[in-house]
Order: sequence, then C-alpha cells, then structure tokens
Amino acid sequence: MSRFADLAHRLRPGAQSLRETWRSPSFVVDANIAWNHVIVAGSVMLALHVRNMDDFYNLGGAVQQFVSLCALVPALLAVLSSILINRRRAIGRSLALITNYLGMVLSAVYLLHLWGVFVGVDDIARALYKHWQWLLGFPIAYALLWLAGRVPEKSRARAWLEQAALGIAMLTLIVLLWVGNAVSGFAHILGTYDSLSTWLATLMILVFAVLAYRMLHLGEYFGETPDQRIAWQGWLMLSPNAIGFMLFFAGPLLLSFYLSFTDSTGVNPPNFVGVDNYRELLALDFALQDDLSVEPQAALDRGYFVLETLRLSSHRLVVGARDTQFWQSLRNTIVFCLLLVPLSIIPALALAIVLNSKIPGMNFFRALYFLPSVAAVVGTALIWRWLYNANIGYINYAIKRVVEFLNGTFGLGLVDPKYNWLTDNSTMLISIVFLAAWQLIGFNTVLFLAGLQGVPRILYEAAYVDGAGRWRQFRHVTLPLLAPTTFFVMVTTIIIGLQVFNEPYALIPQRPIPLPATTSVYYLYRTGFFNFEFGYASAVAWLLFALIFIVTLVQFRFSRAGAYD
Amino acid sequence: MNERNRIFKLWATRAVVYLVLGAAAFLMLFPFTYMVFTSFKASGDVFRYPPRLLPYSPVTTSYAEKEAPLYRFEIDGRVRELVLTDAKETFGYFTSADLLNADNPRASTILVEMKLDEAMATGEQVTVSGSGDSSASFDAYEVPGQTEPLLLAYRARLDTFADPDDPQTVVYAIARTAKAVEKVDFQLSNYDTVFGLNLDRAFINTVLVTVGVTLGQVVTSVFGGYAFARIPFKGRDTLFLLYLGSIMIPFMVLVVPMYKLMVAIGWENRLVSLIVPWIFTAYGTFLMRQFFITIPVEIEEAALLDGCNRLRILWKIFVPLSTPAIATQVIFTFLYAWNSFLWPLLIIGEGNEPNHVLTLSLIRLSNIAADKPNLVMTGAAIAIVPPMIVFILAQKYFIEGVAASGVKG
Repeated sequence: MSRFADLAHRLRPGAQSLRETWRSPSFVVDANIAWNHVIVAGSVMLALHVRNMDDFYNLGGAVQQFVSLCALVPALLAVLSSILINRRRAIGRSLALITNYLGMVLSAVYLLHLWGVFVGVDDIARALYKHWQWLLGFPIAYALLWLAGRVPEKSRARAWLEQAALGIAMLTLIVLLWVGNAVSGFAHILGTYDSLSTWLATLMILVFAVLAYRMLHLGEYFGETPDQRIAWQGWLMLSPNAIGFMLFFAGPLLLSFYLSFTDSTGVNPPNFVGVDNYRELLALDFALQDDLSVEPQAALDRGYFVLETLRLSSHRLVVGARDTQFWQSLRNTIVFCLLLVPLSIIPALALAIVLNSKIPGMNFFRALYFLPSVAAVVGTALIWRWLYNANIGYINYAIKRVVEFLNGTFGLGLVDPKYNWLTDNSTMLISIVFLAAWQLIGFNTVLFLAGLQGVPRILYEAAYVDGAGRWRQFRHVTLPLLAPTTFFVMVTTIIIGLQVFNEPYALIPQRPIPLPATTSVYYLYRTGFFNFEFGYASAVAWLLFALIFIVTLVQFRFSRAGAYD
Repeated sequence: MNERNRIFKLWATRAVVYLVLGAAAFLMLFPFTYMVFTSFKASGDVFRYPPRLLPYSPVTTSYAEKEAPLYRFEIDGRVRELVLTDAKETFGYFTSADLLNADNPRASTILVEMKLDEAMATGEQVTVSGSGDSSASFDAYEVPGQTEPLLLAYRARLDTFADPDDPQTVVYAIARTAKAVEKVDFQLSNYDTVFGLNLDRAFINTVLVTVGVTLGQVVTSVFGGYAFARIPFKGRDTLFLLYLGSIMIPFMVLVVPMYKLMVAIGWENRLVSLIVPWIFTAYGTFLMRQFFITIPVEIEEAALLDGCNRLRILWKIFVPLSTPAIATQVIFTFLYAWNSFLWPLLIIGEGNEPNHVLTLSLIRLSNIAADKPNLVMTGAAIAIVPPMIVFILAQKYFIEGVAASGVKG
C-alpha cells in the first residue's frame, strides 16, 4: 500500500508542480499499476457475475463458462503488465497499452449503449421520416458541388458555388438536428446519468484514455525501437476493423461451430451432442430389393425414408436417408447450379466476344446488360413472378405466339404447353434458374470482357497471318487464353448458386416453399428460423460451407496450375 | 471493287453485331420495361389478355348528366363511338327443338335473338333430351316473323349503348366483352398508394441504413487497408491471410449465432442491427489495401520526413489519390446494403413495420396486394430505380471494380 501513499503524496499540491508530475514516467507507471488493481477487481466481478447468471441468453453452460473465463483476460493482462512495467520492460508497456486501449474502446461502446445511442437509430429514422423534405438539402448541395467541378478553376463562380454547397449542407444538418429533436435526444443522454453505471463508464473511458495516451508517449522510457513505434501505429489503425471483425465475425463463427454440435433450439439451451446433427443429416441407407412388389420403404432400416429408387434389371436399389428433405434440397441446389452455369456463362461469353469488337456503343450495351445485376433480387423476382403468370404472363404469351407461328408456317401441329411455371412441381426450379441466369449474365459478361482484354492482340494477328478464319481464331486463340477466366467465372457462379435464397423466396408465392423449389439455404432458414432448431441449422450451414470450400479449393489449385500455359 | 467489297462486309458485320446486341438488350430490359409500364396501370387494366404493355384507361364522355365510358361499334360498316348507359335489356335467344343443345344451351345454334318482352310465352314447356340420359325443359315462345313457336335457349341481360349525338342509335351488347374506347393514361396515383402502404417509411429506413453502412465501411476499410498496405508490423501478414480467408466464408454460417448475439444485446428488431455489424468488412479492407500498395512509397516517405504524421498522410495523400478505389467501394457497399434481404428478414419482425427496409416492405406488399400487379410493380420500381440511378451515374467505377475482382481472383 505504500505505493498508493506515495502516489497520493506526489499529487499533493506543492509537492511538485502538477505539470512535472504529469510528465514523469514513474508517476504514469505508478498510476497505471494502481488502475490495474481496479481492472483486476472489476474483471473478477464481471466474471463472477457472468458465472452466476441464471439464464445466459439461452446459450448454455459451456458458452457461459467460456465467456466468464474471457472476462478474466483483462485481469490477467493487468497483473502481467503491472509486474512487467514495474521492471521497466517494453513488453509490459505493450500489455498496458493494449489493456488500456481495449478498455477505452469497450467502455466507450458500453457508454454508447447506456446512452441509448444504438437503439436510438430507430428514433433518428422516425425523425427523418417525419421531416424527409429536409433531406433533399443534401442532394441539392451535392448537385451544386458537382456544378462547381464543371466551372473553370479559380473563378469566382466556382468559389461561390462551393461556398453555397457547403452552406446548404450545414444548414440542412442544423435543420435536421432541430426538427429531429436533437435537444431532447441530448437531454435523454443527460438523463441516463441518474444511474451509477453511466458515471462509472464515463470515468473509465477517461482513465483508460489518459493512461493509454501517456503510455504511448513513454516509448523512450521503456526503450522502444522505431520499428516498434511504427508497429503501434499499424495496430492502432487496424484496430477499428479488427475489433469489429472479432465481435461480428470471429466470435459468431466459433459459436456457430460449437452450436452445430449441440441440440440448441429456441427454448432449450444447447447440450453437446457430438456429431449427432451431422449424422442425422448425412446418414444414408442402401438396400437391394429382389421382390419388386414390396414397398421400397420396407427394405430400409428404421428411421430411414425413401429418397430414391433405382431399377437394376430384376432388382431395385433403394436409397434411404434420415433427413430426406435435406438431401432433396441439396439435390435441388446442385441441379440449380448445374443449370445456372451453362445458362449464365454461354450467353455471357457470346456477348463478351461480340462486345469486344471495337465498334461504337459497346460501353452502352455493357452497362445495359449489367442493369439486372444491380437491381434488388426481391424486386426483380416479383417482376418475374408476374411474367411467369400462367394466364396473363408475357412468358406464356410469347410461347403461345411462337407455337402459333410455327404451326402456321410449318404446320407442325404443336400444342401450346401453357406451363404453370410457379405452381407446377416440375417447372418451379427451372423458373428460378432462368431468373438467376438473367440476373447473372451481365455480371459474367463484364468478367469475360476483362479476361478478353488480357488476350494480346498480336496473337490474333499472328493467327490471321497463318490463315486462320474467325472461327479458328476463336477456337485456337480466344478459348484457350480465356480458360482461366472461364474457370473463375464458373466457380463464382457455382458459389453464388450454392447460396441461392432470395430468388426462390421472392419468386415462389407459396409458404412454406414447396419441396421441389427448396434450396439448401432456404432449408437452413426453415429449420433455423421456423422450427428454431438452431443447432441443427448450424450443422446444415457448415455442411454447405464444406461444399463451397471444396469448390474454392479446386479453383485455387487449378488457377495456380493452369494460368496461361 | 475490292475496297467496296470490304466496306460492305464491314457494314454487314456491324449490322449483325448490333442485331445480336439489340436482341440481348431487349431480353435484359424487358422485365424492367414491364415493371415501369405496369406500375402506371389502373387496377382494371392489369388482367387483360393478350397482355399489353402500355397503361390504358377508358375514355368517357358526359351523357345524361353523367360521365360514362365510350365503346366502339361497327354499325352498317361505319365505326361509331357509343356511350354506355345505365339501362339494361333482357334478350332472349330462341331456336328450334332439334337445334337445341340440351347439355349446354349457350352452345346451340340460335335462330332468332330479340328482346324477351317482344316475344310471347305460350306457357308450354318442351323437354329436350341431351347426350346420354340427361334432358332439360325449355319454355316455348311465339316469336314474331316465325311460323312455329321457338324454344328459349337462354336469356341474357345486355347493356344499352347510345350515341350521345343521336339518341336514336341504340346498340345492345355486353359491356364486359365490348370494345372500349381507351387512351394511354399513366396512373401516377399508384405511387401515392404504395408509398402509403409503409414503403415511404421503409424508403427512409433503407436510405439511413445504406448511408450508415457505406460510411462506416469506407472509414474502417481505409484505416485497415492502409495499415495492411503500408505499416510493417509483426503478425500483419498472418492477419491479412486470415482476413482473406474470411471472405470465403458465406454469411449463412454466421446467421444463427449473429441472430443470437443480436438478441443477447437487445438489438433484434432494431435498425442498428442492420448497420453496425456490417461496417467491418474484410472485403473492403482487401480492396483498399490492393489499391494502396500501388501508390509510390516515395511520396509517403517525403511526407514522413517533413514530419507529417500517419493520419495526415492518410487524409492528405492516400484518400485523394485513391478516389477511384473509394468510389468503387462506396458503390459496391451501397448496392449490397440497399438490396440486402436475408438478414433484415431474420432480424426485423414481420409485424415491426416502422423498422422495415424496402425489401421487407416489398415482400409484404406482394402479399397484401397479391391480386394487384400494378401496385407490386410500383413497389418494385421504388426499390429498384434508386440503385439503378446510382449505377448509371457511377458505372465506370463499378464495372472496373467487378472486372478487377475477376482478373485478380
């Protein structure tokens, strides 16, 4: 305790000038050590609090223990840094810096939470909705700024326009703050200071910030090298991204992996069940039936249901699965990808080759083809829902006209099929494929165009000199040189296809979506957010990820090996 | 001769090329054209067959102190426009017993068609047998100009059409199947209706979310990208590999725990859950890093020697130099945030309409206006047109960005 007495002594007025005290490294070190005691106490209290919570957000005991252990990490950091900065070791300063910086950020986030800033976004949205006219000030300011860019530099008009744009933007902001009741929002924030935790969080930010700042400037005292100094700057700049990455990516990823081995549901906390979820999903049963008059189901073990039957001369092969819906959705997804690849790639390649001939208007067409890719899938799917309409839709109308034309000119006697695109089990999936292909063609065209730009013109000239015609130039120059691009486009298309969700959801009107149009991600959505089988849904997600991973690995291997040889 | 041949060939090729490109453009644009025109249609105009693209509405004229629709009829070889009146007339369709189709009287061959009250019922009923065992009885009528009584096959209430200038000319027909006089007419009020169905609120929410996500992403990506590109520190390259690997992991793996996380911190049903988790992006960081490493080191070193600190260098040198890269990222993020659907669907409840974004409101609209394609198309247009405008304004950056991802991938 003598250290504290010393600290207090030095802070006493008159003992030293406050400024000098502030500057002295030993004071900062002592203050940091003192603050570390507080961190240890707080960290242990937090860990105990987490440990004693009755219902840890329905995440189960294991996660609770883990989080409670994580809450002890600051304590560990604090103890270590106390010992090491006392010995004037550089690593101790690093630990103290990390602790203080993270402490500052986390308490700032906590303070924002206490202030109600995060939840308050809803109120901001409401205020903007009520006074949306004022939002138009921003586009007007932007338009003025754009105009200013067209005016010759250093002219009075330009300066005036820029001033006006800035003025309007500021004015808009002030008006929005005023009509959006910023004053009452501020009052609300002040109101949160009636609780002790708000005061504590504010205090913590201040202490952490001051200590972090002082520690950062004690490099010399701890013998910091220039490289280390630069490294600090790097970490500092990376930190906003890295902290968010940990919170919203790495953490959930681990949790997802854990959940996939549990029986977590909407009501039950997770219990570890090993690979049960995966076994339930993947288990297949094969049986060979001699007697074809018996139901195929009879050949399967208990708990298995018929997925597929196959006639082999006098026998019948029965394939059963425990979760037939998963397998069917997986099959739908794979069929979807197999259809999507040619339907979106061949037209894209053709368009790219035509667009690559340097004649006027190509950029215009390229932009046109890209439009479907920028529109919201939910919107375009609803358009297509009506185009697919069996009675009044343009697609059936076009088919009818084509059939009539063929019958009229060639006397073929074809029958108008009058598809019920979205309600007939046999056409649902292909309807989704057409929509997705339409959406993807422009995107793939741009990728192919980029690839074509990389083909040296001299090769075509050489082929021309050698007497190769257009087709042979395409066959022997374009296609081989475009192979890496084609491969890349194919893999991207497959990866996009494996994750398809919005298209079936918005295109198919029935709920739940009938099995023939159920894709894997929709199945995941249904198990996770309709049946609330969180553990099971996580397992589905990881299986799908495994599939995507394999596709990516294949791409990685081939793109390394096969580029331009 | 050879020269002319060459020019001819050139133009022929061009004609074929433009034809192919035009056909493709038609296929790509037709759904949007359909959307725009349908969004201006009146509700009575959407279920016509064969379908037509332009929005029409009936032409009316004032008749008997009321506005009434006009219909087009051919009378004595002349096309005349008649007005639909309120008067109705019951018509009888008469035929003989042997021509009558008892199973489907409306399919019988009709001999006489006239106002029912001008014929006289005899009071007799005649039973006519149809195919098989079925039979039906019909009333017999004395019909003027016919010697034998005829049977009433069926009757129909016909609408009366009159010439507004010459009330003597009257035509009886069924208004539903008659040819209405129509003019092209854009129903702008559809937009009012649809905005009133919560799409106005959703629009503002979407703007707020999109702006928030875009700004946040650009800021964190610029900082992170700069650190990865220019500041050497231990573990940087390992961390960068981790970032790269994370791009490969699809969002669906994170769906369940992210949902649980949002519930745990009380963000479910809140707009903030659509913004804050999305502003930290590995892909954007990667994009900015790739651009920053192409900026010459010399510029930066000179500035460092002059005593500039890192933040100043970033703000004064890197940000202005990388406007194209930042623009690319802004546009990518804008489109991604504007069009996102799965996450809002999970996190914002169906009943929580004040916090809906456009994609959610659009799905809801498609349910409540399931039989009004004009309204659904209006909603789709509201959701689709803003990103298209942004794309058209900034397509250079966008297409370059997509192309770059392909070349590097």
